[in-house]
Amino acid sequence: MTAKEDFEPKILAFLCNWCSYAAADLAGSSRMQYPPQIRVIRVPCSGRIDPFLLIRAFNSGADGILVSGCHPGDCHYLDGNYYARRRFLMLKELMQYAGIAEERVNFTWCSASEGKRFAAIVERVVNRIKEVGPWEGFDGRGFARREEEMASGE
Amino acid sequence: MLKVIGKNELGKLLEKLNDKFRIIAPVIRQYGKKERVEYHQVEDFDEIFLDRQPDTPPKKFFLPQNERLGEEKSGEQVFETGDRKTLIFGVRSCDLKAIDILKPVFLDNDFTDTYFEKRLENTVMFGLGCSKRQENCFCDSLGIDPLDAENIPVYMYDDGERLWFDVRAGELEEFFADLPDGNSEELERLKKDWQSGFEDTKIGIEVPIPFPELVAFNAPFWKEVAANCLGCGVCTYYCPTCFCFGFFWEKREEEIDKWRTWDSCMFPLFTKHGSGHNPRETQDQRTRQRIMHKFSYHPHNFEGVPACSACGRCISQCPVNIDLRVILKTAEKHLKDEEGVKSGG
Amino acid sequence: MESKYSEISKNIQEEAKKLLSQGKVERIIGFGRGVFTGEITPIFVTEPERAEELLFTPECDMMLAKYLLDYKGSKTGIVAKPCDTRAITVYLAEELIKREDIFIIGINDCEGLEENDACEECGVRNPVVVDLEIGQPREEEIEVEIADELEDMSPEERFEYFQKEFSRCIRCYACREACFVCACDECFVDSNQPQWVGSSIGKRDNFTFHLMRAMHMAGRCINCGACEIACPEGINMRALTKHLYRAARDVFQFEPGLNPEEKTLFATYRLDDSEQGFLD
Repeated sequence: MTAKEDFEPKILAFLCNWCSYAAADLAGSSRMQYPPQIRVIRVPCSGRIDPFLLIRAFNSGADGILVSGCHPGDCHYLDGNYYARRRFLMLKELMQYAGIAEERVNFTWCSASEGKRFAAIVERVVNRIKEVGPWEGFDGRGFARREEEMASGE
Repeated sequence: MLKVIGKNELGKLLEKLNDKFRIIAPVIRQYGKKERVEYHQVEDFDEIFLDRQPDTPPKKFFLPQNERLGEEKSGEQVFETGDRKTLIFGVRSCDLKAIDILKPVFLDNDFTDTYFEKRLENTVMFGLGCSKRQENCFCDSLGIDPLDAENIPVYMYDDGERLWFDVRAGELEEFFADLPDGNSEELERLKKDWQSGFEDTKIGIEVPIPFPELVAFNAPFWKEVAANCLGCGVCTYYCPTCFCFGFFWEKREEEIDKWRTWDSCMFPLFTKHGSGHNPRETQDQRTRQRIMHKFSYHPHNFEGVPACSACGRCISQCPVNIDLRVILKTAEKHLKDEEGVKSGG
Repeated sequence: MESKYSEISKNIQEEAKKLLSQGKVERIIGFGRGVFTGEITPIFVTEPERAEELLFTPECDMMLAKYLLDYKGSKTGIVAKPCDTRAITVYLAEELIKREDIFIIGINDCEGLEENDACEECGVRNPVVVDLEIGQPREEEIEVEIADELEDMSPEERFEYFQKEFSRCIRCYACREACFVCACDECFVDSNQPQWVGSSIGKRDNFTFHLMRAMHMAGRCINCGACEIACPEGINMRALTKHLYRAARDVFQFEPGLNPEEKTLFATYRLDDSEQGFLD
């Protein structure tokens, strides 16, 4: 296993098109520095994010997720993020109860003008996930060393 | 040769066999409230439990639920045999018959399934006679002898205190050589006793096998017998003879692995076409498929042998207690009436 | 005890006979006994003469509400335990069935079923929605708590526990089929575009399947225990869904299946919903 300090997490960031994605854009165009470990997926609205996508991210080897939408009340579609908020809270409860470290599952809000906040959030999330180390998968076997496992025919 | 030992001496015998074989036998496992008898590899021979039919069939040792077939890129087949042959201990007549039913399917001359073949070559089974009828079985109604089986190296009988070994394969005789001989007349007497127990509880299913295909397919009773079917796959996954499987591919690094996994005709996805059309859209059609495959299509293709060994697991495990015997009785009544109409008219 | 259940059975039979011969319902979904096994099995009675096959005992642990979905648009009677009526309530709230299509023969003062551990955690002993009541309703409320057996475990221990439990799963989907919540036109496991979860029984896919299943249950699951009884492998099916039930109750004051007028958890929101655990 790599030392925690060298560990480069893979983080999937689901950003809503209207606020958080624009915030990421702003952070970039304002040349703000933030850690490069997030992979951004642009979605129309945080209300569009099926919790299954987030569970599936872990199934596929993401070390953590970050979901960010418009601040409550600011949704481009009026109330998409209100619906999403309930779902995310329940998903977080589920993941935590199932024993997936709380630090891996991150939800927040970020408006289009909050480039600075976005950079700070990403830094925070990356640090949180670095803290808990690599995600070894639901089978606890990791994602890199699959060679032997496959050979055993299990 | 016929040998007999006290049940408490079984450990010693298995100890000897353990050098040459990986021993798999029925053991009890407790899960929550559920107590189950399952086949597992055993190290502690005191764990072995022979008093009732195991809840799971031994099918998985020949056709594992998940099996990696090889790499798609290289086409190389993988097969791990391990250092020892496998010995499955205490397999009842129904499950032995079930493996026999699977053989012609997988060992067809034109399309031999090498995975199944290799597993079969690497496995030895010790049969075990049933001294009484199990929970929901009806093997005698389908012409299977609960007290004997063909092509088996060793067939055992359990009279409560002692285990009888009918050793039929020369190469295994060395393991039994120094055990006390059994009295064959005494065993015959015991078998007669057990036999009469089966006679008393016989259900007697006189359904024509194979079912006449079209008549049975178009019969009106399917909706009725499948009305409460939920559509889960328990009956097929616990069936010792159901062998349908699907493939899936898993990517790792540069290669793609090809896997085989069980599938079930009870699932809607089983027949769903790419276009979205599903020829078996409703659950009664899927139930019909399951029964028709076992009692019509399979016997049509394989010398009149139904793809059911009457172990009764589908009955015991069904969440809504659907009874295969009731379905067969319904079919019997209907198909006989149909016959009567035909011959009368 | 014995006589109480035979009394209930007799009442059900009489009422069913009346309903069927008066043509008030086309069929009645209820419990009957298997011919050879004597085990309880769901039956569908369409003729008044067959009403005698109906019965109710403490072994009647299947959820019959789900069969209502097979008979949409025709008047169907159902013998309903209080949990069945909660299930029907969820269906009504989600507009999956029409109230006028069903006739509920509700069983009052349910004492719980023999095999079902969930009954000990159930506080609903009288039907929630009902057209015809069998027996006297239970007057006093009962105090129950939805137990959390895994409370004392650390997250790591729980993770290991679930891994072990789910590794036995053979993906027969008996839990799905037995569950009244699972009424989607296409289940996520049957979808291959996108494929949400692989069909193998590897630990990874199994764990994912169970997480996704539990997530779908959130705000709908009434903790009836049907999944656990149906599971042939004896997996602790309710652990995850029960936790979500508690979470919905404690955080959103929401309990499914108690009010047909109330929208389900995820079908609505409040402006001041909790943001517990969100990054500020």
